[in-house]
Amino acid sequence: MVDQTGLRDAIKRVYAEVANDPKKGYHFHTGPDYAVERLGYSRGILAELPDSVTGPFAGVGNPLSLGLPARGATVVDIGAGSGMDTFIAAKAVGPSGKVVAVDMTDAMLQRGRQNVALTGLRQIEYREGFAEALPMESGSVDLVISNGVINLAPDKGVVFREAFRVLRGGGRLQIADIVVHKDIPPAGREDIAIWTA
Amino acid sequence: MEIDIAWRGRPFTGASGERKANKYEVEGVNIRARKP
Repeated sequence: MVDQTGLRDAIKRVYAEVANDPKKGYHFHTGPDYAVERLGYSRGILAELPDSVTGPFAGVGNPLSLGLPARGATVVDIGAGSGMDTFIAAKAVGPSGKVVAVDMTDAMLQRGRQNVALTGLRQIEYREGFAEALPMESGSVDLVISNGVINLAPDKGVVFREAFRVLRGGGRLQIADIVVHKDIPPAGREDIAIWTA
Repeated sequence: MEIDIAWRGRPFTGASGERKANKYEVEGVNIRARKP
């Protein structure tokens, strides 16, 4: 099993760069044009969000294309980053709802909190935490979303158990992520460069 | 618990990581499930 602390440090370094310099050029795509052209996001919805929200977007799918949360709902975004999905969900739940944006990267937490202040969407709360130990009470969430994050967790089972724990009965999980159809050899599974690339 | 894959795509196409993604046949997916 890959060293989790070393992996987390490497992931934090990559995503701190993305937060501060989203157009630098990475092995993955970033930004709103990519989200619209490849992943089916609405250009109109993204145009309503500041560049500081949409620019560092580095998701791999579109979890809210599967349905928006209801007004007043409680949502948790695992690995929220600068918050593109978070902010779309926040507009859907309105001021009577709540969106908890969980991230482990200081630079993303800072960027996300600045974005909350910039947009005035006070129903968003950024919390530092890990996908494997969500800072949420059991049975308190209507919708769990995540975009391109669970693949970075060595033990996916722990992450899914956490999502199940925080959801209330009838609650929904809507995630976008990547899957591999070809086996990664054992040496590759222990190679942090493979995980972050 | 019902789990449904609602979309499949190739998010790394055109990115510098595309070669590695193709090597392992990486696919992007949107997945939904509902807690009973």
